[in-house]
Amino acid sequence: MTIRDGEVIVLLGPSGSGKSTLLNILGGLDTPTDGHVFYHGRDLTTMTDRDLTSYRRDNVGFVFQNYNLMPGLTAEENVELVTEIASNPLKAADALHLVGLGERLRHFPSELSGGEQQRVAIARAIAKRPGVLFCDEPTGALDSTTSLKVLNALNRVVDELGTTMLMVTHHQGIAPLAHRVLHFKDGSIDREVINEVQARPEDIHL
Amino acid sequence: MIRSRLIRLFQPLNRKLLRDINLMWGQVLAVSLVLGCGVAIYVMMNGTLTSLKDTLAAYYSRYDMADVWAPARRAPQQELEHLKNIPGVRLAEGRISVGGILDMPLEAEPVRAKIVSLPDGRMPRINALYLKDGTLPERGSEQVVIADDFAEAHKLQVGDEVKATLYGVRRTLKISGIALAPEFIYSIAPGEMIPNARRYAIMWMGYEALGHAYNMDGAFNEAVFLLDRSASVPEVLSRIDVVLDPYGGVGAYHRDDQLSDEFLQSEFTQLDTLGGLLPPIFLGVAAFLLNMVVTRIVEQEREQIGLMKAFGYRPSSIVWHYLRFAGIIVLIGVLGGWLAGYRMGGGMANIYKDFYKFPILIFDPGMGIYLRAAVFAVAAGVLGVLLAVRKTISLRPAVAMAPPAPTDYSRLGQFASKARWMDQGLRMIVRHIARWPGRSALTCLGVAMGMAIMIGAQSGQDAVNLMIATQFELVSRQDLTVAFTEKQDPVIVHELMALNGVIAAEPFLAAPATIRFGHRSRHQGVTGVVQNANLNVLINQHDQAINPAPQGVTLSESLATALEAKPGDLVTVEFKDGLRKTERLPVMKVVPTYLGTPAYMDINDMSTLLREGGRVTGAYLMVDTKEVDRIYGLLKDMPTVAAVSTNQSSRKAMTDTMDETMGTMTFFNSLFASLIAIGVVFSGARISFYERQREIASLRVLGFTVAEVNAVLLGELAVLTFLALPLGAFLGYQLALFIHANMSSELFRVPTTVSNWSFAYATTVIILAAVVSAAVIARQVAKLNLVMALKTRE
Repeated sequence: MTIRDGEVIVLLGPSGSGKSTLLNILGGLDTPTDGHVFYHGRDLTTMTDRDLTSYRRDNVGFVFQNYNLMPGLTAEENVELVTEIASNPLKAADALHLVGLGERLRHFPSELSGGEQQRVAIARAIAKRPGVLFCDEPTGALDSTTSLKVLNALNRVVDELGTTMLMVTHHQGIAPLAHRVLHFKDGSIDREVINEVQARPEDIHL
Repeated sequence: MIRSRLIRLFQPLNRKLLRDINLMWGQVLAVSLVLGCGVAIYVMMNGTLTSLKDTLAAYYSRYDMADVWAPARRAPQQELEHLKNIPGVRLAEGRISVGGILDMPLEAEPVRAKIVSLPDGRMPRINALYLKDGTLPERGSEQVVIADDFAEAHKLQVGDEVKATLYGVRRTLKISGIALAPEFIYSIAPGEMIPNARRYAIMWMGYEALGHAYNMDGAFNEAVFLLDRSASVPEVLSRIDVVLDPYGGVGAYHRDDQLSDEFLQSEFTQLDTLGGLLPPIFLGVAAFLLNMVVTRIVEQEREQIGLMKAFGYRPSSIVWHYLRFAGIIVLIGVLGGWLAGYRMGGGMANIYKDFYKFPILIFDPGMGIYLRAAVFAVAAGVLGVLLAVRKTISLRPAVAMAPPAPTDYSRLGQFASKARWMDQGLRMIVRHIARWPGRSALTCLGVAMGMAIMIGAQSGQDAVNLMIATQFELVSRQDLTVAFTEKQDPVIVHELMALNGVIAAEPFLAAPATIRFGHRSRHQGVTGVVQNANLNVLINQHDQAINPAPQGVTLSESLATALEAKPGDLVTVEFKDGLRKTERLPVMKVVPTYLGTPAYMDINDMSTLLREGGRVTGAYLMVDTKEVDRIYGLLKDMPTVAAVSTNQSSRKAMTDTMDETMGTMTFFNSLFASLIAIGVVFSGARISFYERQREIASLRVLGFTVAEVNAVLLGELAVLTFLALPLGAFLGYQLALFIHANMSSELFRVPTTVSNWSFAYATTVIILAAVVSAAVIARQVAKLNLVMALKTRE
């Protein structure tokens, strides 16, 4: 399986079908028992822990279902956590503007709603201008209105920065946003659907 | 029955309990260890104290230890009848108690002896001996019973002979027996500070023989008494004094003022102080650790607690579950502590048995002490758990089951936001500490307490070292102290100076006395010393040499405190020697001293006052070190010399004794204190790791290296440890102050001092503990399963 730069892929399937495992392996969080993963010609499966760390540091952004923000840092500082160690980052404030949180820079996670926290997580993930953005159930903990806001934010950053994105979800309704949809079943890709035309978040119903 | 118990054992909550313990055995062990240390030290110290007190009481009662001693110059035997008739006196005996000099082959220096008479042919009814070997002396023979420690120090056996100078006459004494005696448990030569069996002997001789030797036939110079229980001690003492006054009585004294007993009581007070102080600190730290561990578990299991409540478990059964978890920790701690306390207590008892020469000392703390230790430990455990569980247990099930909201940092405002020089890692450290000020402060305090008890434990040794250094380097600078048999013409000092190898000599005039102020009094001799002394020097609180003030007395601080007298007050000094004058003298100065309760006067003033015409009772000598042995030999053969003591051997004896008793105690205390400090630091670091696994994993996912994550996680440990160091030093000094104040007695004033070495040792242990904990945690950070950590809910 090959993923092209700038492609948006949605991974669909029931719990335990292997979506997150694939995402974790591609993101350098986990190692496969078999097979190889190449990122721009470099084999992830033979990398040391140190190499995997710098792979994540330089090339990869993550967004998780439960945000995983640092409670002790404000929205802006959470993003700066990444911009401080990246080589060519966006400004933290710009990244937060991009996800519609320009007014909430100085707020701590405890002062933000779930959707807002998730958008901070997205800003944090894309502030380093990653090659790939991995999203594991980014709307899993949110209601439909908030989910749409989050999807909008994701769509916007992918558009503006040209980032490749892989999103795990069990929400069929999100599938039209992707270039390609991978359906998982019992630990493998059951089928692959290519969307000729991509939908906009405002066009879908959750 | 067994089957149903087995089933109950595997009920879900019980299985969870076993798994929790299996999972966290490291922490369980760390907390058990600290708790065990508290229990062990409690059992050891209080058990040793109880055993010592019981043994002493039994020893005193079995060998009829006297209640009162009344020394005199020479009283006829008939006077005993008068003494026996004093109301309150149950039994009275007269005896001869004198000093002699022994010539021992193993010792270059002359050895002093105290020789006490025994009634011919029988054991005394008061102050009986525990005859370890041999028999009592035969009537009229020059046989002696010698004290066991002296026999041991000089490898003497029954049948051996000892060369002695008694009242200026050389004699050969044959050893008929070896004994222990309750009145000489702690036997110190006059003018010495510490028992030294090589240099000081206690021996007993038949009355007839000793009376001949000292020209005391038909007389006694010391009466000993057993009193009725109802007797009024002050009244009996003053009546005895009236009877013995014409015979040179120097004042009867009660057992409380008897040197051996007084030393024992002051030692007991020290044990009591440490035994009352250290275990509560250790147990308090243990309760704190237990609270940290249980808090973490409860926070992590908040969801499960909600679930159990939703299923209908009562809050009490949930609390009970965590109490049982703590119960296992307490159980391990208590059992281990009992065992260790018993073993160490046995060891301490053996040391004390040898040191005090008890015939027997069995470490038997009694059930009460074990139970009390366990009760304290259980209380510490229960307190730790209740504090931890309180908040979570009150949550409604639905709230408990939902993941907790992110920790609210907003109330800190924009704390640390303005400091742009901070990176996000440092900001996280600072805010995390500020967000949990109570917990951070407690961690800091826990580490500081660990450090403080190390310093407190070490400072005992520091105090002794300072005491010894001050005494032998600033105060007693002489090499030899010579005491004469009778008062001598001052010309003797010039004769001593003329001896080849003697560099300097200073005379002194010592007189036994009772000093009174208001209704307080002390039997305390006065020493007349020269102005501008170079050998035996009075020092002020700045360690500078000062002179005895003319026209009055200079009191040691401890004596002034005991009499509640201050400079300017008039004290009454009743001299018990020569013309037996009673004088009212002003207190001119109060000088600090660490040992005893001395009182000083200018030697010329004192001589004039007592009409001694310049006569002296002894001299301090400074000698050429190469000539020391030859000068000893010369002095030993001088009939006018009653005793010679050397500073070098006094210092060595004092250092050895202190090493033996204090050294062991200091070692145990330091060991436990170090274990506690390590336990606190390590637990703090591990808990921090467990609590923040998710944050750590998030940082790792964001591309932070292991080292960068460690900097954030361990930075907090470093900051708190760093803050704890000055706090620990401060608390340690306060603890030393407290311990020393409580350990001081009239016999020893323990100076408060903490050496740089003690501070350095405590600091090093804390830093090492932090570094090792950090290394362990760093390994766990490197091995952390990121995916698993991110899946777990906070």
